[in-house]
Amino acid sequence: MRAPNLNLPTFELSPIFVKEMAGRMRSARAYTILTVYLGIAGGLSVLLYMVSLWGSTRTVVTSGAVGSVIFYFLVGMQVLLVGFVAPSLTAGAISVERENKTFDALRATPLTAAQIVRAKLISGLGFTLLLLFATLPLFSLAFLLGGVEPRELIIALCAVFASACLYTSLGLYISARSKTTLGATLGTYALVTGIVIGIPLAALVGASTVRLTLSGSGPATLLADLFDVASTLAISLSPVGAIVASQNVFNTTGELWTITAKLAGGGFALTLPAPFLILTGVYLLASAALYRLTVRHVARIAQE
Amino acid sequence: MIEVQALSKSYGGRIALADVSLVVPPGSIFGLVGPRGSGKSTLLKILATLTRPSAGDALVAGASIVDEPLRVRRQVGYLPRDFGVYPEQTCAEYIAFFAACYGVPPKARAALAEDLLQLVDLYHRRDTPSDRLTPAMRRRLGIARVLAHDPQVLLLDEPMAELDPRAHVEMRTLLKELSSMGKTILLTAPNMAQIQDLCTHAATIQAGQITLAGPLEVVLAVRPPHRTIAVKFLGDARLAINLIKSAAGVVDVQMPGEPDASSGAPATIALLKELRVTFDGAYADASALLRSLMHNGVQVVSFAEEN
Repeated sequence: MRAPNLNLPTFELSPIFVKEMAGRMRSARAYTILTVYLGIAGGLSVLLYMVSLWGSTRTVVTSGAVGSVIFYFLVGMQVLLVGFVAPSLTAGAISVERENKTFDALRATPLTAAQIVRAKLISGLGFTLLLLFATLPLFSLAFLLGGVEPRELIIALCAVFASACLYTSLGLYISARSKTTLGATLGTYALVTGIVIGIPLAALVGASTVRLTLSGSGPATLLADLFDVASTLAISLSPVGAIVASQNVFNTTGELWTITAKLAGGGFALTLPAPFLILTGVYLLASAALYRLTVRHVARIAQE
Repeated sequence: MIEVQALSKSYGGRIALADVSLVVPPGSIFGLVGPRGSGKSTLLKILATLTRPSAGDALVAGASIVDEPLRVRRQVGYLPRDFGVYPEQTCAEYIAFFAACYGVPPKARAALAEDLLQLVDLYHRRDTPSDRLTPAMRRRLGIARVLAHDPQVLLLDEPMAELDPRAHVEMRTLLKELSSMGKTILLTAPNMAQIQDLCTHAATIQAGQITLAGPLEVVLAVRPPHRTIAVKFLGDARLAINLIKSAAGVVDVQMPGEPDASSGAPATIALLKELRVTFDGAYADASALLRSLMHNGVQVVSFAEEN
C-alpha cells in the first residue's frame, strides 16, 4: 500500500548549520566541555549543599537558604560558561574558513552572505544553548530545596540568554574582520572580559568617586544621584551586575520589571526598567547590530 | 558560452586586468596561459563572481556577472588553485555538503556524491576524511565538488599545479571526459606545454592584457609551448645572461657546467660559451631576443631550438 501524498511543505536546515553542528558534535571537544562543566557544576552544588547543612538543624528555613545559595551558584556558573564558551564557538567561524582556504568555494555557491553568517551564528548559539539546557536538571535541586522563586529564574535566564547572543555575535563579527583565528579569539575574549568585569568595575569606582567628591546638598546631591542612576545603568550592562542589581531590587521592593530611583533627597523619582531588562534589551539590540555589520562585511569582501 | 567584454580590474593603483575581451565557445576547453601575477586568477575570480570588476562585464551562459551574480553561480563551477577541505567531513560528505549549498534535493545528494566520486575515481575513498587525501586526489575531489550542481561552465585555476606526471595524465583524461559531457572548461596554466594536448582554444595573458587568443593550432603557430634554445656566443657571459633574462618569454637560463647561471656566476669558459634558455615566448619574441644580443655586442655563433 502506498503512503498518501500529503504535499506537506518541506523545511530544510541550512547546510552550513548542519555541517557546523555535525562537525562540532563529532569532536571530542564538545563532550569534554559538557562533561567537565556538568561535573564541576554538579559536584560543587552537592558540596555547597553538604557545607550549608554542616552543623545546622534541618528546617524549612535553612533548606530554603541552601536552595537559594545553590541557585545563585549555578547562575554564576552559567554566566561563566557563556563568557568562556560562547565567544570560542564563533571567534573562528569565518577566519578558519579563510585560513583553510575553504571560503572562496563557499562564497562561490548561491548562498548569500546573510545565509552564511546566520547559519554560523545559529550554530554557535545553538551549541551554547545546548550547554545551558544541559544544566537545567541541576537547577531542580535548588527548586526542590525551596527559597527560589520562578521570577528569579526569569531574571537569570534573560540575562544569560542575552549574554549568549551578544558574545556569539561579537565573536562572529571579530572573526569576519580578523585575518587569523588566534587574533579573533584573543580580541573577542578581551572584549567579553571588558564587558563582564570592566564595565561594572568602572561604574562602581566612578560612582564611589563622584559620591565622595560631591557630598553636600542641593544641585551637588542631585548630580550625585543622577550619577548613581548612570552607574546603575552601566552596571546593568554586565550580566553579573544586572542579575545582582535586579535581585536586590526585587528583594527590597518586590518589583520585578522596574526600579525607582529617588533623586535630590527624595524630591522626585525616576522609574526605569529593571537592570536585567536593560541588559536584555541592550544586548539583543547590540547582537542584531553586530549581525548586520558581519553580513555587510562578508558581502563587501566580494567588492574588493 | 563565456563572453568577456572590456573587463578591467585594479587594486588601488595596481592594474590587474586591463580592458580584457575574450570569447570562450560552448563545449571548448579553453586554456588561459600566463606567468604568475599576469591576471589569469583574477579573471577567473571575476567570472566566478567572487570579485567585482572595476569596469566592463562578462556573460556566462547568458547571465551577466555584474547584474545577475546568483544566476551565474548556478551555471559555474569554480575551483581555485589553492583550496582547502573540511577535515571533519568525509569525501562523500564534502560533495553532499556542496550539493546542499547549491540546493540539490536531500534525497538526491548521496547518490550524486557516489556518482561524482566514481567519475573522479575516488569512490573507494568515499568514507576517508577529506583532509587525508594526497594532493592529486584532493584536486580530483575538488573537480567532483564543482560538478555537484551540474554546471555548464567550469572555471579551473591551474588544475595541473603540483601534480606528478601520472596525476597530470589522469587529470587531462578527466577534463577531456568532462568536455565530452558537454561542459565548457576555462582553465589556467603557467605555460603552453601544460595545455597543448588538452585544450581546443587558448589565450595568452601578460600584465593583465590578452596578447593572443584563438583556436589552439593558431595560438601554437604563433607561440609554441616552452622549449629550449641553445645560444652559443663569444663575449661577456654576464651581459648575455642579463639580456636574456630581461627578454620576453624567457622562463629560465642555464649555463651547462654552472649550477645556476641566473645567479650571475662569472663565466669560466674562455672562448666559446653556451647558454640554454627555457623559452615560452612567441617566435617574434625569440627573434627579438636574438636581435637584442647582437645589438648589444654579444657575438652570437649559433641560436637554435633543441628538439
